[in-house]
Amino acid sequence: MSAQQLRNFGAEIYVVDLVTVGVLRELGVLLTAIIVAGRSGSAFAAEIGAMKLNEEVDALTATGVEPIEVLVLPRVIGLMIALPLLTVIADGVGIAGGALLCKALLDMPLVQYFARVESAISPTTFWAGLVKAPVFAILIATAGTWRGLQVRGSSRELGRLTTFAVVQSIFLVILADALFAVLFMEIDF
Amino acid sequence: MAAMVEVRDIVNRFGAQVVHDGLDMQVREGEVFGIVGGSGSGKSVLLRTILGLHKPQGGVVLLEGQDITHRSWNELRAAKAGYGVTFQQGALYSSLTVLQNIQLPMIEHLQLPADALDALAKLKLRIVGLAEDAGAKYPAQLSGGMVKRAALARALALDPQLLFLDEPTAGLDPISAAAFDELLMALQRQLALTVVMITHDLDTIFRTCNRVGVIVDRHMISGTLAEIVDNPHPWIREYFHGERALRFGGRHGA
Repeated sequence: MSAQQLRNFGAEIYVVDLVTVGVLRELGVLLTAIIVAGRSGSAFAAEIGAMKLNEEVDALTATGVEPIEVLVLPRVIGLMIALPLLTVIADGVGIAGGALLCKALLDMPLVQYFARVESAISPTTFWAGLVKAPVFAILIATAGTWRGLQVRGSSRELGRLTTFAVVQSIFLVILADALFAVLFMEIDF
Repeated sequence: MAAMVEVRDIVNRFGAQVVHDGLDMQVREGEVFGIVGGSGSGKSVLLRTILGLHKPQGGVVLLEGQDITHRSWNELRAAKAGYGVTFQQGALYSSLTVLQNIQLPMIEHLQLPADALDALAKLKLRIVGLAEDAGAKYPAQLSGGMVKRAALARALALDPQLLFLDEPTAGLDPISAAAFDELLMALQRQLALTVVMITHDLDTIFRTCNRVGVIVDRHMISGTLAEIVDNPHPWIREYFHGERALRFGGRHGA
């Protein structure tokens, strides 16, 4: 759609800039984080919640093992490693998708596309997206594990808190993304 | 005899509902102490309080003379290596195999090489009467009776002097339950364990317990099994002399 609008002005070539900057700075990391929130945020809440219901968390505490140490921290750290890697993949796929679209819809040669991509990228474009990934990871993982630890009593609670974890982590991710946008604008990143 | 577990004047409230109001309990070294009470009388809450999983509104819990109600996490860690617990549904870590379940407390509290851990865990498996190939299974693959045995093996991982069991025979068929009682008695004698168990199973009470504590009216009435059976309190009379209990009466001479 953006391509159509730009075509009205004869500015199809800026589609490349739009895709490149949009994917690298915003969409790659944001969409990845939202998908991961839906997939892993819910999984964390459900796993830990089921462990709560099965008294496994109590068993850990009773053996002198801190549940935060073995249930929360590894998941937070794991996601902090995984989400940036997934973001890099998403960035790559996003740029490739842009290339395909430009070729199919705008008849733009691939060489021209990638040349334009190169000129559209400033040194910070890629990193502006990637630095957000670990922060999103912390938000998703803590929301998921925290809600999981709050489960008590019934499996109905488990379902409720799992849903809550997903909604909350997506909300937090979008909120954080907005804050990053403001911050990056202020510091001209 | 020294008191292994002493609970003094425990008060537990949930909102307006008072569960325990000045409850006292004493478990002596080397005995099997059964905790009995109606549904909602706070047996599990009492156990959770003793284990430090629940903070009471008042009162103290002493384990081997040491107050554990007002301790920091690090101080409690040492105390926690001194007892084993089994929970009602086993509470085996579902993402770990049985062997890994047994090894977890060892890894947490002891510095042992991997082959020693394996050997020890397999020994614990044998002690509770599980076949060695059960060690590689995940908790979801075990039968109810095997879960209880595996949980017991994990509780024994650190060779504790003190064992807390929450309904160890609940959900087992009478034959498995009897076998579990036998196992428990043998272990208790051989390892000189002090056992505190919550149970509903009259069979288990008569077979294993030296003393019994009944939670009634937010307090605990405790005594030897014979004393409790003769207690005039209406709930206790109903419990031990009700229709279900009478069927055991002849067999146990109670």
